Formats: sequence, structure tokens, C-alpha cells
Amino acid sequence: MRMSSAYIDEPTRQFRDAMRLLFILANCGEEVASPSSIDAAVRMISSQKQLQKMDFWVRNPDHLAHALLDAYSEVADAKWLRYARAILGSEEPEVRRDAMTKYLFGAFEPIDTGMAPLISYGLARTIRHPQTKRQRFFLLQRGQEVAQQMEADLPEARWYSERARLVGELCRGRSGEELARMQYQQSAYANAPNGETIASIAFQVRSRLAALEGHR
Amino acid sequence: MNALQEPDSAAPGPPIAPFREAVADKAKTTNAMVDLILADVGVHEETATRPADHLTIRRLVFSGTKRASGYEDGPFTFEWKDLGPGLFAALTDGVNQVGKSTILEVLLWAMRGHPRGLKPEVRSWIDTVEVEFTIGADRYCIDFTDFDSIPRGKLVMVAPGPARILRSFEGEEAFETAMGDLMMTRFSLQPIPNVSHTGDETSQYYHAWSAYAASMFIEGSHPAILGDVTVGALWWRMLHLFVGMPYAATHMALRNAVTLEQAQRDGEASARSRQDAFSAEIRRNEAEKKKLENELKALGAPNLNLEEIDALTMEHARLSRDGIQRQSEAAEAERDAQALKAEKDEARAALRRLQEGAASKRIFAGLRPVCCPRCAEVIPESRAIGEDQSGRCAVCDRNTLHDDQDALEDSMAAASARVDALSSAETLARNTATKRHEEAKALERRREETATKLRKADEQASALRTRREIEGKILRIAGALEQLKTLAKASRPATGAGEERLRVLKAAEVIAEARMKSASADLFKDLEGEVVAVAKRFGFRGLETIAIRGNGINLMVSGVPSGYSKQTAGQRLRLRIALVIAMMRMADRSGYGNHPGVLFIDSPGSEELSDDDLVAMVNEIRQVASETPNVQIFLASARGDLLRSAVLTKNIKQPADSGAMF
Repeated sequence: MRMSSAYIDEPTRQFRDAMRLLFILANCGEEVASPSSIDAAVRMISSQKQLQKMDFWVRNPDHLAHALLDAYSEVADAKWLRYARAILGSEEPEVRRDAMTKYLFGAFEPIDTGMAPLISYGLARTIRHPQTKRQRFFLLQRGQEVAQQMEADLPEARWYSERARLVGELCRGRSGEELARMQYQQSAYANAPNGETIASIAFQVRSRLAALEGHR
Repeated sequence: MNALQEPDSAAPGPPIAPFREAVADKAKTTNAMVDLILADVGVHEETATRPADHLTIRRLVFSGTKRASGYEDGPFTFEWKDLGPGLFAALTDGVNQVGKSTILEVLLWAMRGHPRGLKPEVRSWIDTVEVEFTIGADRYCIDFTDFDSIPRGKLVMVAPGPARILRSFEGEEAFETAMGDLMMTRFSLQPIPNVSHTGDETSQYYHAWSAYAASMFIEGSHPAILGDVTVGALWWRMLHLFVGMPYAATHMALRNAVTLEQAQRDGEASARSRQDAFSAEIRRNEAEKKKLENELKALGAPNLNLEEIDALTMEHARLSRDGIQRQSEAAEAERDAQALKAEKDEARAALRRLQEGAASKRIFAGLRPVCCPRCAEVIPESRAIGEDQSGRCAVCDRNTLHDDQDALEDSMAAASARVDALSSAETLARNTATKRHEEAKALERRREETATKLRKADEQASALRTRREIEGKILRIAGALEQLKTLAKASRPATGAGEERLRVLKAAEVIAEARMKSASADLFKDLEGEVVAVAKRFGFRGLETIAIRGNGINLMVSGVPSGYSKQTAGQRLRLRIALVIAMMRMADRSGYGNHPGVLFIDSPGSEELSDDDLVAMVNEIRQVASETPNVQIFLASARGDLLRSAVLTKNIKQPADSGAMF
């Protein structure tokens, strides 16, 4: 029900979701070695969980900044701090937030509707892994072309491309479980009741950044 | 009435020289000098004695409200009327604390202007007192209220002639003055001067009506035979004035003046060494005064305006209040702005989503569907052609021509308008917050200014206090200086004029004493005879003679010489009562004498007398009182069982049914 009402309020939501997922596939997915068993597949995200976690960070810049600061505290690579500072210094946490519902074990939203246009237009495919039965998400050659076209033509698309690239950089080499663990470290995330929106943590993360910079 | 009797016309012996001439002669000086010196000490030639009047209480009324008395609390009125000469008694049967003594105390209180032994809690019950009394042929009424222990009332001369207020008074002192002035004048009594020596200081003070009146109240035995003051032989001086002794007052005043003069001149012996001490002390005080005056100058004039302080205090309170109000308004506007911003951000996000959706749709819509997203079945070419021609979706067959582009644009316009509106609202709230903040800051600045002014005013107030203190010190030092200078002057070696003054006073005292003594020899002989007679009737068995002298009272009891102070309590009580009765009997006989003739005797049976002696004495008192028309005696006793028979029934006041006198 929630979904349908969201779609009534925002008649073009499926296209927006599709665009975001397209860029996540394009910029976060791992390259598919060619020749692949899947025709024309160029990128792949190997589980729905992983896709969901990536989607969550794209949709919640505050939580992403928090994860970036975590990464910075892990490896002390100044780029993570720089990224986090850029996000927190902007209005992204407020204006770019597309709140997500928590369901059982984390941020989860039925992703099929957003994926449907990509599949229908022949930009992506979902195929279960023959052994693990996990659903895998493939970006097809045509999808990559459309993503490039969108990035060139649509100012609205550029942000998603950039953001997905950053999330991809953060997630590289991490499994869905690892990403879930990272996200669970945030109490607003962990403590959100089932079926409720995961709250904004912009204030806490900005404070964390201020404390971090104050202590430097 | 005795007052109307003619005094004996046959004066004994040849007339003596006028007092002033006798003194001038003795002191070897002029009449004028004697006049000057005697006038200075307030002594005048006695030109007349005065026929005896006496005081008689006619009616007593007092009322009020009893609280926690143990007997029927509440309003009460006590009246004792048809009083006159003779013995009156307030009697109870073995019960105390019912008010019999209070009746006597209230009477004395009214007669002398301040209470003697009236218990404060009982006094607090009493709201009004009224006493009618006569002195000779004149009738008076004293009435007063006593709320919060402040007597307010008036002394009225009721008759003869039209009733007129002699004195209105408020406060104990004024009350005492009112009664004292009347009584002292009516009984020709004079303030009894006394000299007090404290350290080097010699000063004079006076016993007045209060002391005389105290001699009317007899409560058991007392070390003094008359009154309740033992020092300074007051009883002796009072006795002289009570019996109307010629030259008694003159002698008393002169003796006092001599003592004072002597004391001052004694001091002159050491005057020279004291001069130096005085000079040093004067210099020290002058230096101190100078120092304080400089301090005062340094302080400057305080500029204290109480109205200004009030205004500043109120202004400060108002500014604080307004400041807090503005701050809370600012905070509220701030909260509004925050909420509006959150709402605006959400609206901006909503607008963004629509814009992103619309933009991405433009790209996606240009793509040709290749498969069913549900089953991945390839869309046949015919479907794609059909969509181009009919507008029906190649995948779901929905009529895409019905897509309302306008509706999308409308919702984007609405979202955009919402962003603008919220943005304006937020700006407005922020401006309000800023404005309120600034107002609060301005108010805070003004409050701080006012507080500073208040602090300054407070400093002024404290400077004023300091100034007052210094001024007070300067005043005290100036007073001390004045006194020191006077003393320094006074302690200069004696002058001839001082010698003459002392000589004249001493001569006058000797003459006055001689004249008093020659007159008093007979008077005292009469008095002593009366005292012995009356005391014996009261049950002082074996009393043969009494010699009343200034240095003591000597008795001869059953052939053995004794003194007043050696007597038992019972004998002393008899003598105390007998002395007053004797005076009144003498006054009645001779027509001269100044005792008011009223006696209050409280609880004579306490421990002084056996039952039989008590009854006998009271019987005699009644008898003597009836024989002596100018005597009025009030008796209070708890031995009603014994004494009822000794007092005329109509003169007895007994407790009411409640058990209390009032």
C-alpha cells in the first residue's frame, strides 16, 4: 500500500528509481569478465542485499557520510574525510534524502518496480545464480550506453552517476553482509523499528565531523 | 467637712522674722542676694499652709474580655459603686486568682497613671476603666481605654461647675503626668529632690506622685514604713510633706541645694590637675572632630533621589521582563524557522524527485521495450508498431495517450510553489528571530545600563549612611567638647561669688531646719502618740512609744527599746497601716495634712497574722476608719470566711456566681 501511494504522489517515481539503479549498476557493479555466460553483460551486482545497501547509501547522504568517516577512521585515507566533509557541508543530507524503510534485517525496498523499466528496455537483467540461487543484477551493454547518454544529457543524472561512483568506491571488495554490518553500526539504523523510516542522522554526523576536525 | 473648719486662730509665741531677712542676717549678706540665690534654687517664703483635703473613690467600672482565665471567658464589666469613706473589702472564701487583687490594682492604676502589680495578662483583658473620685468638694472622673497597653483617655472635673476636661492623654507617661499634676497640686505635695552620686557625677532627680501614690498601697510588710522606696530616706521626706510640716519643703529644697553645691565645690579641690586633663581631652576631641570633618568633606555631597531609585528599580524589572519575553519570542521564531526549513527541505526533495522522474522519463520513454519485465519474453515488433500508432503500451497495453503531462507539470509547479512559500515563511521567521534577538540585546544593554545606575545609586545610599554616621560622630564629639569646656570652666578654682552662694544656702538651710524642727517637735509628738494608739488597737501589744526620726524609727516595746526593722512582719504591717491612719486622724483633728487618705491593703492575712489577730485588726481598721471621716480603705482578702463579719455587708464585694469577681 505504501508503495502505491508513493507512486500516486509521485507519478514518475519508477523512472527516477530506474535511473538511480541504472547508475548503481553502472558505477558500483563489478566488471563482468568477457566473454560472459550472460549475453552483453558488462557489470554485475551479485546479490539483492548488496544492491539494497548501495541504494541505501545513495539515497541517504547522511548515512553515507557516516560510513565514509568510519572508513576514514579505519584506514586514515584523507579522501574519505574529504568526501564526508563535502557531503556534510552541503544540503545533501536534507534535500537529497530519499528515506528508506527498514525491514527485518536492514534497509529494504522491493526493487522490482525500479528494475522493471531497465529490464523491459533491455538495459539490465536479473538472473539467479545456478548454485546459490541468489538473484544477480547485470548491467547490459545497452544499459551502459543509456547511462552515458543520460549523464551527458540530463543534469539530474550527473549527481547519481557521481554518487554511485563514490558508493562503489566505498563498497569495493565488500560483500552484502559486510555492508549490512557497516550500516548496522549506526544506531539510528540499527534501532529503527521494522516498517519505519530510517531516521536522518545528519546532525549526529555533522557533530562527529566537527569533533573529528576539532581534535585534529 | 474638715476643710471648712477654721484653723486655730491663736498662734503660739511671737512672730518670727521673714525667712529671707533671717537668712541675710545669718549669712551676712543683702536681702537681694538672698532673694537671688533662693530663687535660683527654687525656694520661696512660705506664706500659707493649706487645709487638709482628702481623696475618696466613689465609683469604679472596668470592662473588657477575659481570655483563658479559667472562669467563663468572654466579655465582662465590673462595677463597684456607692463607695465613700470607710472600709471596703473584696472578699473570697479561700480562693485566689479570681480578681480581688486586680480590683485594688486597677484603682491604684487609675489614681496614679501607671499600674503597680497588675498582671500583664490580666491587663490585656481590660479595655476600659472609669473611676469617679472626689477631692474635698470637687468631683472628678478619670476614664481611659487600654488597647495594646496604651492608655488613652481623659481626666474630667465633673463638679462643681460645668464638667470640663482637665487633661486628655495618650500613653502611660501622659497619663501619669495628668494624674500627678492634679494630685500634687491638690495635696500640696512637691517633687522630692534627691541627689544621686554616680562616680564623679553628681546630679539631681525627683520622686513625684508615683512615689507618693505607692505609699497608699500596702501589700504585706515592707522594709519602709511608708511607700515602697527604702533609699534616700524617702519615707521621711514624704512623711514631712504628708503631715504638712511647715518649712519641710523649704528645708528639703535647701538641703538638696547645699548638697549639690557642696559636691560641686568638693570637686574644685582637684580642679587644677583636672584642668590639664580637661585641656588634653579637649585637644584630643578637637583633633578627632577635625579628622571626621575632613572625612566628611572627602565624601562629597551624596546625590540620592529615592524616587529615582524607585523608578530605576521598576525600569530594571521591566527591562528584564521584556528582555526575557523578547528572547523567548526569538527562540520561538527560531524554532518556527527550523521547522519551516525542514518542511522546505522536504518540499525541495519532493520537487527534486519530480524533476528527476520527469527528466529520466524523457530518456526512458524514447527507448523501445525489448522484453517483458515480468517474464522476460521478447516484445514482438508488432506491439512496438501498435504503440506508435495507437499510443497503447507495447508491454502492458495501457493507453499512454492518457498520460497527463499537464498534471505532472502542475504537480511540479505546486511543489515549486510550496518550496517558495516555505522559503519565504522561513525567511520571515528568521527575520523575526533576528529582530527579536536584536531587541532582546538592546533591552539587555538598557537593563545593564539601568543596573549600573542602580548600583551607583546604591553606592550613593551607602555613602549617605557613612555620611550620617560621621555626622553623628561629629555631633557626639561636639557635645562632648561642649560638656568638657563647661566642666573645665566649672572646675576652675573657687570664686568669691561661689563662696557666698554656699554660705547663703547653708544659712538658709539651718534656719529652715530650725523653723521646721520647732514646728515639727509638736507635730511629731502628736503623730507618734497617734501611731502608738492606732497600732495598739490593731493588735501591737506592748507598744509603748515610737520615735519617728530621719535616721530611724525607735520603738519601746514592753519596756525594751527596739527598731522598726526588728519587728515581725505582722507588727510592721500594723505600723504601716497605723502610720497612715494616724496622719489622717491628725489631719482630721488639726485641719492640716496632705495625705490623700486612701489605703489599699492587699491580702493582709498572708503570712503576717494569725486568724484571730487578723479579724481583730480588720475590726479595728473598720472602727478606726469609721471614726476618721477622711479615710477610705480598700481591703482584698481570700479570708472572707473570717472577715465578712468585720466589714459592713454593703461594703463587701464578693465573687459572682461564676466564681470570679468579674
